[in-house]
Amino acid sequence: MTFTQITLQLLSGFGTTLLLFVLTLVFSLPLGLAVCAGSMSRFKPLRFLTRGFVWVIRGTPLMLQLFVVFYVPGMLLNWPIFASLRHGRFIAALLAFVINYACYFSEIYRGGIESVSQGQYEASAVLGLTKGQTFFHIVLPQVIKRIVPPIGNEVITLVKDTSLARVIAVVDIIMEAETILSLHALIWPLFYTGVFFLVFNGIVSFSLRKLEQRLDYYKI
Amino acid sequence: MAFFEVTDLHKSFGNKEVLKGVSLTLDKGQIMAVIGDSGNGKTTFLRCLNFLTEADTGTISINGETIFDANIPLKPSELRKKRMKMGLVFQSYNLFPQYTVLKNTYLAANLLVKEEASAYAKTLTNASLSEKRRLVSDFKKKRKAENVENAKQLIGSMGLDDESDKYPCQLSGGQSQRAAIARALMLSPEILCFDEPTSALDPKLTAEVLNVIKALKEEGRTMIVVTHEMSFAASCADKIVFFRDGKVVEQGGPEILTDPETADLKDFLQLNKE
Repeated sequence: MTFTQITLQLLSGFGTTLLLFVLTLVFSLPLGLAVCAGSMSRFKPLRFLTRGFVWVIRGTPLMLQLFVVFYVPGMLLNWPIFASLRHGRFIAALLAFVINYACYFSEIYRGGIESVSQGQYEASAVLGLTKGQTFFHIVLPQVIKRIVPPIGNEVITLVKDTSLARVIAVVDIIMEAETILSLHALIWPLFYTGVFFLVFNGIVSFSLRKLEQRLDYYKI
Repeated sequence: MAFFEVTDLHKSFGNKEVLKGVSLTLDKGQIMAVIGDSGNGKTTFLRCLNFLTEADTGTISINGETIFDANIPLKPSELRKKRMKMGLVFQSYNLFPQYTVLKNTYLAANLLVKEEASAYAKTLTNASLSEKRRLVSDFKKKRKAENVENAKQLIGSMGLDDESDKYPCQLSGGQSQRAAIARALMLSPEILCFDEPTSALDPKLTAEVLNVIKALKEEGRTMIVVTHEMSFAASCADKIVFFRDGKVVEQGGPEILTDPETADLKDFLQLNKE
């Protein structure tokens, strides 16, 4: 195999990695807001339930969660939904990632919302803003500014975490490299995968820094 | 009936009674200075006037209209309308950091335009749907432009023309407080309250803010100022109210600062002189 062939084969695996990355973000960022609303709810049962769930998800390995999502429907319902679907393995991995990251994001959101001072709410109230207006015009912009750095950390971790999907046989870039290893007895492609992660994370970090700079026109 | 009237305001937090029946009145265009040591209910009183804290009992009325009655709970929408008759300037300004001075000032007014527009739309009974849509959209644009103009004028009157496009983090304390005053004036409250507006400022900036309050008095605004500045109270206030232990112990014209009747006020003034 030539270098180009290997690069192309690894890229096809990396495509899966990127798709998993992007879709996880698209679903987990908004879902995190909903989880956050639950964990800050004044309705106690909902709050305890949500916080308990977040505790379980953050307290157990993501790899284990991948197994649970993939195998449990088949075991409990006698219906191996993810094994029978065409892209079932990918969907199972996506589901596990979305749930896991939504929980992490929800805690970051909660920290961001709680850090907005009481004075901002009071100033909004005396100016006659509704609760919705206060949240969307006053609180949320400040929360976004505050959470960009911690969210950025999670995003970079997510790029690397996607490689865990291989435990339920989602063919990511590392799995492609292992195939090359077993078929062609070449080990260097395995190490070469690191370059893909590094370059992509370089782009992600750069974009995040640009975003932070764009929000730097004011201080809280 | 007085322009502004508060009767028998009580407020407890847990079993600590912070306001023990506060009643007072104020005439239109006057300044009331609220004085007293910290922890005697002045700030809680001001917060009750602005509905940030809900009083347990008592009533508040402006111009004969009851804006608060502890016995009659209000819907959030009614409460919002009534609370806009009162304005409040905070000790720590509480400007919105992500917006310029200009946007801080016009934001609340512009957010009200939607409601104004739906009220306006109801008056357009004869217009066709497309015509109605156009008229409402024109109405919104016009109102928003008016608000921005109005905000610019207020900012100018606060001497902040050059700061209009700056963000709160770029302002001095005195400028921040003047911006906060412009913001509070935007909704033309009947009564503007100040919660120790100068206690975070040095003497020079304090003078700056107090001069603005004096200028507002010239315009005929009615104001209630919680303050530790005795010289300001003596020179500017039409009415002095002295709080101790959750009650108004003494009230009267500025002369009570030089000739107090009660031992409590004498005691307070003596300590403040030292």
